[in-house]
Amino acid sequence: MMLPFKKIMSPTDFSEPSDLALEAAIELAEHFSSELLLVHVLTPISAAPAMTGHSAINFSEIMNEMRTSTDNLLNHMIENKIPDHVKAKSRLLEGLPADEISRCAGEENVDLIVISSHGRSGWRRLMFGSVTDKVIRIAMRPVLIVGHRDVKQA
Amino acid sequence: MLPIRKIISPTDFSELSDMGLKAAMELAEHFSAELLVVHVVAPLSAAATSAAPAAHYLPEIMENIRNNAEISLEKMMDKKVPDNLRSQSILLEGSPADEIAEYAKEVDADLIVIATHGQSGWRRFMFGSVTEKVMRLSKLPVLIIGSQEKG
Repeated sequence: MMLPFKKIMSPTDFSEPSDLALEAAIELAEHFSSELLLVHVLTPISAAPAMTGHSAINFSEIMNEMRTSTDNLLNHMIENKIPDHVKAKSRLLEGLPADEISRCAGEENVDLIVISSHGRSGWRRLMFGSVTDKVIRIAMRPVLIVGHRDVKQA
Repeated sequence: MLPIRKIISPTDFSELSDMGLKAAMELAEHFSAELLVVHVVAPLSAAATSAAPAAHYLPEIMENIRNNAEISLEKMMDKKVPDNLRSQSILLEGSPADEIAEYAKEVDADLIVIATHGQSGWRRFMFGSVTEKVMRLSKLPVLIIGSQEKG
């Protein structure tokens, strides 16, 4: 049995399409009284810069700042975009987006992943699109792909 | 996204597509939605059409394929789809992903439920490629069911 959806995951890259996926996830969470898990994946700064030993830039400090600000952004989204009656929490992940999303989905035992068919325009579209493709392949649980709003708006 | 009134479940009569159908039925029941089970018959390739002696029989062969598909669909509906669900089966002809996406749009469906294999291999190549193309072509929400559905 696939239903009920007790826990729904909504990965976000903070783009407009992923906001649309979040809206769909919220609707479903409201309908099924599910818990909503909002996740974002931070990609670590590449190893290359770290090799320059005397660089004045402290990469771990930058990563820490990114972690803090992204965490704030996620909390802000929960406060502002998710209605209070929906039980929601966020998780900030680090690594390769599709792998982390799938791993976390398993760890949290989510029943459904709601994800947009693409991210922002241009290269992000490619990137987030391929994240979606990979999640479908490796997450091994139901994935709802939410596309464009222009065609159908309930 | 909600309410979900019309759900499309494409089938190629494989075990994999049965999994998609199962999920579609569950959702149709939950939302009291109409279930539209769609099968697409691909026309015989142009290569076959040009083979001179065989060409004569082609319309007959296609008719045969169509009839068989119709029978398989009916049997499947009888066997797998409970009577209490509002459902119908639809036989289309053409390129599977294009036909599914177009039909979904035409009937103003709310959701397409389709199964896919997680692993690579020829099955992923066959049904998986249709799934991926449907995802790309259709602007409707598409629910993808992985092959190792948890119990």
